[in-house]
Formats: sequence, structure tokens, C-alpha cells
Amino acid sequence: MRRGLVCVLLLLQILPLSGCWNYSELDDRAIIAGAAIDRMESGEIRLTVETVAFHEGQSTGPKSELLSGVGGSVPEAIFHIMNQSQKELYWHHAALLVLGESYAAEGIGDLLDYILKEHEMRLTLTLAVSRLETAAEVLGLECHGAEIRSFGIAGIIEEQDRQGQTVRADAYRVLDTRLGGERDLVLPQIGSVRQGKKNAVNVSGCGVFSGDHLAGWLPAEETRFLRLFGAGLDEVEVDLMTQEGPVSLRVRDWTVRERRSADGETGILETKAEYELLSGKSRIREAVIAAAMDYYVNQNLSALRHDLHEMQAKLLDWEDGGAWLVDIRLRRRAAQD
Amino acid sequence: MFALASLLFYLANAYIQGNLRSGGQSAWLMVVAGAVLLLPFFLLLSAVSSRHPGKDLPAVAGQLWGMAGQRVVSGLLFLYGTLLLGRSLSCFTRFVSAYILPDTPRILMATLLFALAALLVRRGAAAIGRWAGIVLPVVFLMIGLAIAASISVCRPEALMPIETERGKWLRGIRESVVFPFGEPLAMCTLLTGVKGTVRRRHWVLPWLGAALLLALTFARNTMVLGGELSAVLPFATHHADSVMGYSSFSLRVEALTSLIPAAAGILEAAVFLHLAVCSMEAMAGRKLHGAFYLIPAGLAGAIILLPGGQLMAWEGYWGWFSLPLQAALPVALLLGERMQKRMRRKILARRLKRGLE
Repeated sequence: MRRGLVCVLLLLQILPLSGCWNYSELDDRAIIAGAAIDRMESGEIRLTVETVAFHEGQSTGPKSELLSGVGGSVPEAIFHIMNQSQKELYWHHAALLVLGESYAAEGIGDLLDYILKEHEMRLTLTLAVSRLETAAEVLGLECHGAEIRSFGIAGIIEEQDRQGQTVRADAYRVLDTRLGGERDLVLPQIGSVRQGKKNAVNVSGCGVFSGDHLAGWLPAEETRFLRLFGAGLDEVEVDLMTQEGPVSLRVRDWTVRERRSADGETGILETKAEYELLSGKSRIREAVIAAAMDYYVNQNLSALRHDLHEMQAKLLDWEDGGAWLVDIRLRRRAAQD
Repeated sequence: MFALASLLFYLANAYIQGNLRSGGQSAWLMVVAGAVLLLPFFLLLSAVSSRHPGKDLPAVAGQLWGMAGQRVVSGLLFLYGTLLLGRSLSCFTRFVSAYILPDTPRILMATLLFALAALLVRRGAAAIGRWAGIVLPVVFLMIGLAIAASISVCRPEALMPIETERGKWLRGIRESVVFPFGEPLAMCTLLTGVKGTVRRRHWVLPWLGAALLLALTFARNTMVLGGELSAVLPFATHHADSVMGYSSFSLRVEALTSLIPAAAGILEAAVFLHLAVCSMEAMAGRKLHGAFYLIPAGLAGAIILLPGGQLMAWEGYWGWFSLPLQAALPVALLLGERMQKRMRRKILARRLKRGLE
């Protein structure tokens, strides 16, 4: 009896060796490296995906192919692409998702819900907004010789984020920001720059959202202040403007702690940094206050660009080469008739 | 072995399920608060197990109240064990179906897990303890590696501000002390396999240890994903593992940590199945054939096949059944024993008096 049972169990073990349930061959899948979403004039969505293409006999590594689909929603556009390519789209390795300006301006709430619920989408997907005419053009830009442009662009965003020139926005950070509702959503900005005969990727600055809708753009310098006073940066060189002219600092371990009142009208920014003065005079205190105020304004873009505010900043404490304590108070101005 | 089995049992599905829905960024504190508040339950269970070594709750009820009492208690525990078996299998299969094998039928996964659990149950409570002894070091290693690898992507500021609303704290604590974390009453079924007496520390230390590990995990999830996202995502631990990698030379490390619910889930299912089967045997008054395992299997299978929305609606009411049962049963047994001792002393005193007369 026992031997019979063991024989049956051994035979049953052979079954899984034939392959998983509903197994798909690699050739039957379109491995997506990156995607771009645009809003067309008809109101429909165009989804462009960059897929990794493996060809028989190739010796130089994988190449990429672009596929496009149109639909009323992202899932419909995905279905359209699958019909064209006869392959199942595989999102597990996707590194980049670029949003067109017109698409982002109309709201990205549905897209974020789709990313949250779709289990194939990894939450490390980097989101960005395109400053070009369409998001799909980004996937055609030259990218430091990278064969798979999406991976190359995602790497550039990571590097520029380290330099403070842009803000890296992985899907899980974006979703958390949106669910929290206290801070504005900020995505890296992708444009192009002429390099010889080709247009190359240029990642600099960021797009700022009011709720789910793209509201405006910040250039690289203002983005840097946003980063300095928002998340802190390590080992970066910063130029600050003072009345006597620019001052260059090398900043190490710049950390920021922010406390706001419940109504958001008053706040204190406590910053601490180790710095080394590279050039300029040492009158950087005013520059720090100005930078802190810039950050506070930019961090509250959606509210402050529509309401009128007075702002007063006071330096509470200072240590040379050490810490600043800046008190920033905001007040709504009375509405003008 | 009882303590090891308890620790693994409490961690099992609670680890991978992740942060409490009601917890927000303070989920890690709520689980510790819930664990401390539930300590009196453990003291009650410890009192019952120390007075009746080697006996589970139906056997104790039978000793105190006869066959009728044994059948009532067994019936309640059978219902308790079977429902929890269904929830345990449902939780495991939902995770595997969502993130690992999306096309595999859930009932097939549940059947395989059930078969392994049934094998352990057939071997007895001691085999379940030995399984925990083998699996627990691996689980600790995975959790330790996952937390260590998360340090570079953690944002401690995400833990602030600490929740102050009382209602949220109450909801969070209630959510933390029921399935998947909690249900210590089920561990009483393993007492039949314990040699010697289960002391208070064997009940309390695994519970507090599991609570601290979960608090650390929930805090890690919050620091990686953010307070809002970690509360909304199902299986937040898995998502937090997918965000980080071991330094910059590895990815997809969530594949390793997804072994934890598999290994620990077998033990959890085995404990609930053991409870259901022993309760059936206590109701019948004799040992039953293995074919009777199909009764709790069928009921648990029905729970797995429930649509997700219905299951979640039912899960909300589970605490109203589980917590009173876990409090009332040990109290009733202790009070019953006390009353029995008092009655015996009175009868003895009466007999002595008659004898003297």
C-alpha cells in the first residue's frame, strides 16, 4: 500500500517537469523596456512601447523596436498593440513611462490607478513628462549610444537626480505622494538637445502637477532649490545668488526638516549642512534665506500661484559651516477687488 | 518546539500581507500595542495549559463538563479552525495568484498546500513542531536580508507624524490582533504533542517576538513605500521587497522573500487543520479515518471560491467572533475547574461530617 502510494507520488512529480501552467515561450512575449503615452486630437490615447527585440544570429546584443496602439484607454491601447504584434506584452522589465504634455495636462489619475492595480507593473517604473511635441518622440532620441533607449534614459534621470538637476519619480513615490495629497506631484522633464546631426536626450528640470494635472514647469536651477530644501542632497556643488554676486558651495550632508502649521500658512525650515566655500564672498546667509523662500513658494505651487501670499523669512540661528534655522511665515493677502 | 511553532505561526501570512489597512504610517506601533493588549489572553491560555499538561481544550472541557461539554467546545473550535483554514489558504493563494503564477487556478494551489498540511497533521503535533524548527532559521535569514537591503532606500521621515486619532488606533489595534496575526487559541491544539508543561514564557515570548518582527517589517515597508501607499497596497511587504535590491548588483529579490509565506503558510494551514480534525475527533469521541479531512477541506475550499468582495466584507466581522471566543473559552474552563474543585471540597466535607457523626 505504502509502496504504491510512493510510486504514485513519484509519478505525479513528473507532471510539473513538463512546464508551468499556461507557460509562454520568450519568443511569444514582447518585453517592454519603456512606454510613452500621448493624447491625440481625437481624444484617444496613443501608447507607444519600446520592446526588446532578439533576432536570430545577432552578435551585437538586443535591439529595440517601437510598437504603437490607439484606444480610448491604456488597456484598450495595449490590446490594440497585442493584436498587431501577436505577442503578449510583458511589463515586468519596463523601466520608463513618458507622458505627453497634453495627456498629463488632462489628468493622470486613471493611469496611476492602473499602475497601482496592475500586478505586472513594477513599482520601480520611472515616470517622466515630455517637453517635446509628443512623448513618443522621446523614445526615438539619441541616448549616449544606448541600444535600448528607455534603459538609457532611466539611467540619465537617475544621474541627473543625484546632481539635483531633476527629480526622480519612481511609481511608488508618485503613488504615495498622490495618496497623501499634502505635496505637489513632480515628475522629471525630458527634452532634446542638438548633438551634431542628431537630437539627443536632455533631462533637466521638472514638471509640476496640481493634483493629477500638469500645471507648469520648473527649470533646472529652481528644481535644484526644490531638491535642496525638499529632500536634501549629498556631495553636490551649489551656486547661490547674493547681493554681492554668486557664491559657490560644495555641500555635504544637507538635510532639511520642515514643520508646518495645520492650516499650512506658517512653517519652519530647519536645515543643517556641512559646506565648503568654493568661490565668492562669505555673505551667504541672505542667499540661503532667498533659496529657502524659493523652495517654499515652489513647493506650494498649486496653492500659491492662485492665491496671493505675503512671505516673511527670518534667520533664527546660524553656525558658520554648520546649521541654519529659518522661520518662514506665509499669509494670505486680502483679495483685491 | 512549541515556542518555535508559535513564532512561525504568528508570522506566517501576517508578514507577507504587510501593513494594516487602518494603520497608515503608524501601523508598526499599532501592532506592538495590539500585542501588549492581547497579553492577558496568553496568561489565560498558559494557566489552562499548565493545569492540564498534554491536553487540548476539548479534552479539558470533557474532563470538566463531560461529553456534552466536550462536544459543544469541539463544535465551536471546529468552526473556528475550518474558517481560519479557509482564510489561510485564501490568503496564500491570492498572493501566489497575483504575483507569481497568475494563470494557475487558485483551487489547485490550495489543494497542494492542503495536501502538505494534511501530511504534517497525519504525522501529529510533534511533526508540526519539527517543521517549524527546520523552516524558522531560513525565515529569519530572509527577513534579515530583506531589512538589511532596504536600508539604502528607507526614508525615516515617512514614519512621521505619529497617528493621534483614537478611532484609527482602535481600528488598527483590532485589525492587528485577528487573522493573519493573532489567533493564539489555535495553538492549543498542539499541546497534545508537547512533552512536559508549557510554561508562560513559551506562550508570551514567541508572541512578543513575532510582534516586534512584524513591527520592524511594517516600519520598513512604510519607510520604503511611504505611509499612504503601504496602507493601500495588498501584500505591501512583497512590493517593498521589489523596490529594493541587495546593493546595486541584484534585483528581483522579492523572489526570495516570497518563499516565506510558502514555508510558513504550510505550518499555519497545518495548525488550523489539526485544530479542525482534533475537534471532529473530540465530537465523535474516537480517532477518525483520514478521509474525514475532506470535511474541513471542502468547507475551506468554499471560502477560497468566494468572490473577493464577499470575502473582504466577511473578514470585517471576524474579530467579533474570534476575540470573544478566545477570551471566553479559557475563562470558562478556568472558572469551571474552580467550581469543580469547590464542589469536590464541599462533597468531601459533607462525607467527613457524616462519617464523624
